[in-house]
Order: sequence, then structure tokens, then C-alpha cells
Amino acid sequence: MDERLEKALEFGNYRATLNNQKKNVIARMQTLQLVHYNNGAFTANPQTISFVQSLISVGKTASVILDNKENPIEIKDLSEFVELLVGAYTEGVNEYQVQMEKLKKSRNIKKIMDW
Amino acid sequence: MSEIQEESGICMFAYNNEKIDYVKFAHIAAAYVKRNMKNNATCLITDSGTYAYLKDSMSSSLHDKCFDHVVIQDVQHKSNPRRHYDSPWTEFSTQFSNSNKHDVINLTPFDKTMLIDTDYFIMNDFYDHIFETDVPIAMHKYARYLEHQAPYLNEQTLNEAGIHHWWSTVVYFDQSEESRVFFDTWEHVKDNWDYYHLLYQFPPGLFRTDFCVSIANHVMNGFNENNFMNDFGGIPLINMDQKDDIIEIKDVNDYIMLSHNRKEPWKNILNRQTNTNLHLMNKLSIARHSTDILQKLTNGEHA
Repeated sequence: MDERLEKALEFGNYRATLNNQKKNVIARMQTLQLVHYNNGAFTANPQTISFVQSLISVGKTASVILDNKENPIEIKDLSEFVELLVGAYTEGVNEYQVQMEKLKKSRNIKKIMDW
Repeated sequence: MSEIQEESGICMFAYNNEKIDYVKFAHIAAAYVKRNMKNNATCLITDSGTYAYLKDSMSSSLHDKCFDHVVIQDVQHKSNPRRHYDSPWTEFSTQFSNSNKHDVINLTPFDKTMLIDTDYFIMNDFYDHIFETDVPIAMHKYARYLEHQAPYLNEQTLNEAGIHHWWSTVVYFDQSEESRVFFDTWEHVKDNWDYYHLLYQFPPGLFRTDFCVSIANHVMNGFNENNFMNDFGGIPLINMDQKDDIIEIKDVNDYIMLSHNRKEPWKNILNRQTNTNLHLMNKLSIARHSTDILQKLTNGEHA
């Protein structure tokens, strides 16, 4: 095979593998950022965290919040809940950042697989 | 009917056939549960033939490490041949014994139970949350394959215009009335398979519990796509296709696999999954690595 083509195909294979690994890392982050509370499921994203923090900042200590499926969930302790959300958010993005840094440094398939 | 002996735990069915050592897979799946979950009591449901084979083929200390309870249920399974693949180039057919899965509600020693297939390896604590809820039943509604592809069409809906396909790979349930009605409906669908395959327009050849649970869910939702069933927060099952392969087990929770391209099956890319729950559908691929996985999971002890 023409060496130029061989290298191009090898690079294409590497990019396909890399892109798929990025998707894996994002999917893992999304799982880590799912918070289960009082039979509800919430995504620990900036919107949810900001909304809960807004409720706290106007003096609320408890509230009913709609979860990901639009179910009304009673949150008896908003401070405890926001801590959970921030914890899950941070855990998810930290793992995402660590894994992405590893991927950025992996310039070929062998490096991605730690071979 | 078993007596409830513990608050929570995981059940697995394993009936060996001449080609697949399901009971060995069950020990791997149980060892993963022990390693990665808090609700980690385990129960093996099997028949006396498979149990006798287990006693001959596996050390009792390994068995005791993996399973806290064993329930023997001798069932006469109907012939249910299933086609399996091992890569896109090798296929074989063998008996698939799944006709009594609905009976788990009567056989489980746990008040809150998660039933998993023996080819489902739990590599994180995601499922622990469900045991803290009063959710009666939960299953995965969605799934994806290693390259984030959608499931095959017959794994999305039961026919082209049919109801949603739910996955019976992981079934969480309690002992509530709703759960009992659900499992009774599952059994009813099984007993009237010929009728339901015509009604829901799916091929009758292979008896699939995924179809039973999808229909039971549809019926219990008032023949609608409603929200009776909890879907684990919409998190999808991650399936390794029968035509994919395991290349290396780097660590117990770190798998390197080869993912084939459905349109051009000679094309493959490597895929690494870390701390991710995996449904490994290529049984022979698990078998090739089973001793290695068990050794890693049990610090050197293996069958």
C-alpha cells in the first residue's frame, strides 16, 4: 500500500477511536451527574444547581421541584439537596476533565488503550 | 415459594447447556456485585443438573465467596433454540432456558431484589440508589451499543409501528402488589405467546423475556406508553454486541473491546470501557476470558 495512504488510514482509525472514547467519557459523566432524591431523578447541571441556590437565597428551606420526568418532588432540606447536586456535578466534571486530559495526550491508539 | 430472608440483594438465573457455562458467568457477575455494590447479597437460581456440574467444576470456597443463597428449581424448559454470534464470522445455535424468569418474585430470598442476567457485569454503584426508594419495579427503557449506536430496530420497538422495547437484562422489584401483578402478567404473556405475537406483531420463533416485560408494561400502563415503570433515570444499558469481542481485561473494571461496524462488518475499532456496567452479549467472548476475570476478581482464586 502507498505509505501516504497507509498513514492516512491509520490516522483516520485513531480519530474514530478517539471520538468514540470521548463519547464514553461524556456518558460516564452524565451517569455520575444523575442525582436520586426522594424517589425523583435530577440532573446535577448548572441550571438545577442555580435554581436550587436561588430558592435558598430568597429564604426558602424546603420546596417542591420538578424532576427530570416532570414529577413534583418534595425537597425537605434545600441546603442538603444543593450539596448533593454540587457533589455530583463536581464528581462528574472532575472525572471528565481527568479522562479528557489523558485522551488529549494520547496521540495514537496504543496510548488510548494504555498499551 | 422462598421465604424472605434479607432486605435487599441480587438474583441470577443460570441453566447451563452443552455450549454455554452460564453458571460460571453467574459467579463472575456475582463477584462484580460483591466488589462494586453496597446491596450485594446474592442468590443463584438454578436446577439440580447445573448445580451438580457447579459442585464438580468449581471450588466450594469460590462458590461461597460469590453466592450467599442458592435456590434449586427444576423446570422442564421448552425447546427455545437461539442463534448466537461470536464475531461477525462465527455463529451457532443453542438452547436458551428463560421460561421461568417471571417466577423470580416467588423464588427470591430478598424483600427488594434486582434480577440481572449472568452476562451483565456491574462495574460501579449506580444501582444502589434504587434500593433506597419505594419504586416497585424498574427496568432499562433505553440501550446503546459500544460505538453509541442505537439498538437494532427490533430492540427499539416490537415491530415497525409497535410498542417500545424494554430490557429484562436488569429488573428491580419489591414485593408490592404492583410487582406481583407485573410478574403475573409476564407469566400470562408467556402462557399465551401465540396470541400475543399476533397481537403485538413480533416473530414468535424465539421466546424473549424482553418482549414479555414490554407487553406487561404496556398492559399495566392502560395500553399506553405511560410511566408505570421506572427506567433508572433514563440511563441506557450498554450492550456489547454478539459480533463484538473482548480483547483485553486490563483491570476488573477496565475492558478493551473490539466493536464491529454493522454496515461493513470487516471494519472494527477498539473501545475501552472503564467503571461502566456492561451487557456482554458475546457469550463465547466472556468464556474465553472467564478464568482471567475470575482470577482478577477473587485475587487469584478461580474455578
